[in-house]
Amino acid sequence: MRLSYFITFLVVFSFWFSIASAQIFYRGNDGDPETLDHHGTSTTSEGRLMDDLYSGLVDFSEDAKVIPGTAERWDISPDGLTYTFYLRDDALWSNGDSVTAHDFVFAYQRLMDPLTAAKYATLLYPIKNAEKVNLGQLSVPELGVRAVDNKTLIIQLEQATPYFLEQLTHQTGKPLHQKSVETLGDQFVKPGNLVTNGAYVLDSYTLNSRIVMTKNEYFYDAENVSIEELHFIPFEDRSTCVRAWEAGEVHVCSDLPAQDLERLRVYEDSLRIVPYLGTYYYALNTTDEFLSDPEIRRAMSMVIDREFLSEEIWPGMIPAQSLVPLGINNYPSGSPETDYFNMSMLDREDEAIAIMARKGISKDRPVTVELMYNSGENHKNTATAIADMWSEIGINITYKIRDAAAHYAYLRDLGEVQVARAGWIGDYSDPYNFLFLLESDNTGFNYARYNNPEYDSLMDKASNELDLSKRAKILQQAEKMIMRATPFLPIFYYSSFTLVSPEIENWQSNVMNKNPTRFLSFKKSG
Amino acid sequence: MTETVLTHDNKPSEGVVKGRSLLDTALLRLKRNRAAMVSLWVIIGMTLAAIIGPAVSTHSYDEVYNHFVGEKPSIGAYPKQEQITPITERALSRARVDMEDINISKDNVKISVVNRKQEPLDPRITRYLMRADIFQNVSLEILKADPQRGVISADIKPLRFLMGTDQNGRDLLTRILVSLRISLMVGALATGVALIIGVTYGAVSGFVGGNIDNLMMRFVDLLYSLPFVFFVILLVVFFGNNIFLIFIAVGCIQWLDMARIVRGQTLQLKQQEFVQASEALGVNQGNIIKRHIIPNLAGTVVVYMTLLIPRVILLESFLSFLGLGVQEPLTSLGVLIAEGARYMRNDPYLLIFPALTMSILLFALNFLGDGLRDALDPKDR
Amino acid sequence: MLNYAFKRILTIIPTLFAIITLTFFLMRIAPGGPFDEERPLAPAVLENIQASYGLNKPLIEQYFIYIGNLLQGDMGPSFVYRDKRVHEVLAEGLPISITLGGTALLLALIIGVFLGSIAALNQNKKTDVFIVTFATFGITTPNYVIAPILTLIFALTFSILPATGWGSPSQMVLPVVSLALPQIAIVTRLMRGSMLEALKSDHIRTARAYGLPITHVVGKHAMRSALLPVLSYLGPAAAALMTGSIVIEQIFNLPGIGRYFVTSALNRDYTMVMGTVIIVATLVLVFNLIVDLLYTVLDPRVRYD
Repeated sequence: MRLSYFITFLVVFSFWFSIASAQIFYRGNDGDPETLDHHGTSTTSEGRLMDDLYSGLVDFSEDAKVIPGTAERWDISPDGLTYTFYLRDDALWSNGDSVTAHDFVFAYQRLMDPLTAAKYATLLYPIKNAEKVNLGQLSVPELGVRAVDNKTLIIQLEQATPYFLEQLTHQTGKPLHQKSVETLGDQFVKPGNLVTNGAYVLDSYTLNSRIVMTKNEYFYDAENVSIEELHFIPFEDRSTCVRAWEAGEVHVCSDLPAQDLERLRVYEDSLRIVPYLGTYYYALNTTDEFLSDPEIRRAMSMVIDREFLSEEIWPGMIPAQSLVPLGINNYPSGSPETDYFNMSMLDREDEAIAIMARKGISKDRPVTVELMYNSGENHKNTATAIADMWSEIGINITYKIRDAAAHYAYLRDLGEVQVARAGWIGDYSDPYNFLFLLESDNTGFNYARYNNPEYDSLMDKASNELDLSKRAKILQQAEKMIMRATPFLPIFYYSSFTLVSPEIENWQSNVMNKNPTRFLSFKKSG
Repeated sequence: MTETVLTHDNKPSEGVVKGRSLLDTALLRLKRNRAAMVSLWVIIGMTLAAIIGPAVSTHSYDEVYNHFVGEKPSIGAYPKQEQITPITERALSRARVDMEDINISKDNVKISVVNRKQEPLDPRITRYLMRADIFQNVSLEILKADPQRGVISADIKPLRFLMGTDQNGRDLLTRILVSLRISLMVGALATGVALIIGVTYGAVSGFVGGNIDNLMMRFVDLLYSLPFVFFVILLVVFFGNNIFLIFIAVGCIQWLDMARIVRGQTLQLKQQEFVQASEALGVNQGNIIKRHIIPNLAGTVVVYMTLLIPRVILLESFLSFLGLGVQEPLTSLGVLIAEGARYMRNDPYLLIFPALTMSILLFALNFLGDGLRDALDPKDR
Repeated sequence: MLNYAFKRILTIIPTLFAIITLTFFLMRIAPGGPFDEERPLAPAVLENIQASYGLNKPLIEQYFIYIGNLLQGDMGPSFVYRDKRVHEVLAEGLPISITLGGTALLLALIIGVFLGSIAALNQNKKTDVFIVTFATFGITTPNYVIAPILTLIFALTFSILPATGWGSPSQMVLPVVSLALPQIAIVTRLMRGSMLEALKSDHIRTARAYGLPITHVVGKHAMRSALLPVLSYLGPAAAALMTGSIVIEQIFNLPGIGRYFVTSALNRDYTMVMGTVIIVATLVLVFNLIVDLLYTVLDPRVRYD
């Protein structure tokens, strides 16, 4: 008798156990985070972790729309300068403490404190006095963020910023548990110490192996969170992730190697290739003697057959016809059209050849131009193909290939560059986040050293415009200006490449490439 | 088992004639070793192919065929029959005209086209077909009755890609020939430098011994521990992207193993009777190293050299991967293999042909190395 | 001998110190810094960060601060894994790399010495040709070709072994084999060469002329001197194997330390570069010492005064 009880117990127990352990979600990620302190993070792979650990004032929905997060509602003053957020009463930290407006004030002050040295502090510069605080010109408490009471937060802005709510979805907009950060110092990020307010809580972290998270029972929407345990697995080599996925060792791959895409089509619905909010471009140095001529820059852009590149050289990428990518918010009629994209490739080539001939350059009398890129298979293939196209109009390319750190240091220090490969992924969905790259005072990003006062004043005008459709028109005008001047030569809009196991439900691919785990679930078997 | 070895060893060498120099003897013995001689010819053949091959090839190593990206190897000519229609369609769709009918004969096509717009055909559309790599002598005859329609006639230009084309649409065979040239140069250069420094250094260190040996070996240890990647990044800063200077420098690092091995052997040789006898007879040290130590080291050194060449060739591919080695559109065997490994599951031939070339080269180097070792062995004289 | 060993151990410290100093200044000559990435930082932010790591101080001062911390066993903060100190990062990965590398080394030594000896004893026979062919393939085929092929066969086609990860013994098989194969090949080639050499030497010939059994001659006499070049090779090779391989770690997604040798240099993670150099240097020095001492054991004619 006793024995049979015991066996029954064993059977029941092992059954329960197998179900519990079967529900772990293995999520491939692009790499390990630099830190779990979100003020030190900057990459999208780190953003993925933070989206699961924290809930900001506003969050992303399953299709990357801005939805109420810890704040259940908010008021915006008519001049667009004051935002009042009302926090949910049931918003709790993973240790049971209530999430208060003070936690947000603390987090934003810490973000802007020069001593924190946050990489992405600039993202919340629209907050009043933020830039001055971050540069050490004002003291930290003068930041335009204050708590009226425990559940009411007021944020004042420097100027009306129509995309401010979108910016708050970024990981820099997440709160911090003040008490643990203050008492534990830089140890607060360790497993066991880290207190979070999102759908998940950190369980363990093994470098280069896995970050384990479990469901946060105190999360305000915990009843709708289906997946109990989540392992983020870092893959430095995308081919490795594909092999692990095919072997059933991970459920999701966050990025895929271009050469495998054709083969992976057999997995049909599991392979997701969708537009991503980013542009791949070549910067043409406008201070270079040869490239200072906008007509030459235009000819160089005209002659590039972007359809060929995206069909044969880098499958999955989208041919770019503007600097601002498709599907962006606050840009109702999209980027302005550039005339030559409507012409046939032949006409474009003829016109480019004619332009170059006027400058005394042809296939028989070529000039040599240096193209700089950071090492990488896709960059190399793209550069090789473009060099072949440029040879038709009398431009011979020599290459300067460096590792990424040297490449970007070189760009930043404004070394002797003619043509340089670069890319930009939007931090938030607004055209300003792309067009500001070419402002003349943007020393860090303006690799083309483009300096056009007219463009700068247009951008200023747009920043002060409250009416979204008027603002969009101004930005369009600005984009038209740079497409004509061609300091940047857009080549592709990025796509995001994802493999999602058929066992996972409700993975809605979107332009922000955001898929918080709280909305995902396992397919019910049987 | 035993007998063979003994017979082999004891066989009197007929070629040994009194007074013949070390080198003559070695050459004579080498000639009698069939595997080594075949290998020698293979290496000579490959070297010649590397030198003149790219010039003889019908393709240029950096010529891009946009319509033949990642084609499979084939003895027959491209385009294949079934490729002509899609390529034509694609070219015409860029010209904004539609194909109504296509008639493919052995080396000619006739295409009836119609303009998508209600306009007469633009005679320039023939250039789309000319640009399509596969046609030549393209002509367009616009129908008089209906200028919106016309008939294009074009000769098919046969192209051969015996080993297929790479992911940019370049002929793989030509690229392998060019890569062979680079890899052989790089391998010879770096190994040569490593050999000269390593053997001299190791022999001196082992032979002199004592504190000097100790100091010399600590210097080797020191160089061993320096971060190689940083070293190369610095070299690129100093020398620019000149691959040959970099590989002389790589040779300057790769001599370390050689030096250690040679030193070990020298320590052992030093204790042997014939060396000690020379010493007792008052032969000066330089001469002992030259006459006794180095000839006795030849075997190990040659074997190690055949290990070093592939290592240098692979090292080069690692550097190229970091963007510090050979630059596009030039290429090397190591780079081709590394790229091929990435495409292995989709286009295995991109890996197989370069890897095969490398294997043949290294097999030949190996057998030649073995032959040389046997030929140089002073104990077998 | 003990005296010699002691003296050698003493010389390790100044050598190590020289390496650290040299690397510290060498790495700063390279262009770019730890915070140059695809998304550049705003100049003001960059200044803040550099100040927080003390990178704005004069280089010589940074050097003394670093040495001071090092003497207290602190290798400084990593610029890339900012939640951890460099020695913590290395301590997490080193045991894994040593386990992998050590197993591969052992396999290479046993199988390589065995195959090499067999080949030498059967010189120019079928067995020899077969072994030499295998060894040549092993040398020719780089890791990044072998490893994906093995994964394709054993993990994806037959699903006998896992494709990635670390933890269970089954996850060790493929990485160890991929790591060991080229080493087996190299040891086989070296062993075959030196064994042929040894078989020709006077004392072996004499021994065989006396009619001593072949196993005895080979096992006791020839083996000893034949092992010397293999040992010379294995000293540094052991250090290289035990410090991991970025290729193997990436292909099998293993949390070893091999990656840091390349990534730290590419990311200009200065403190991590120093950490990896210290580890390699120590291992190289120690293994070379061991090899030199083994020399005296294996070949009594080699003496150190």
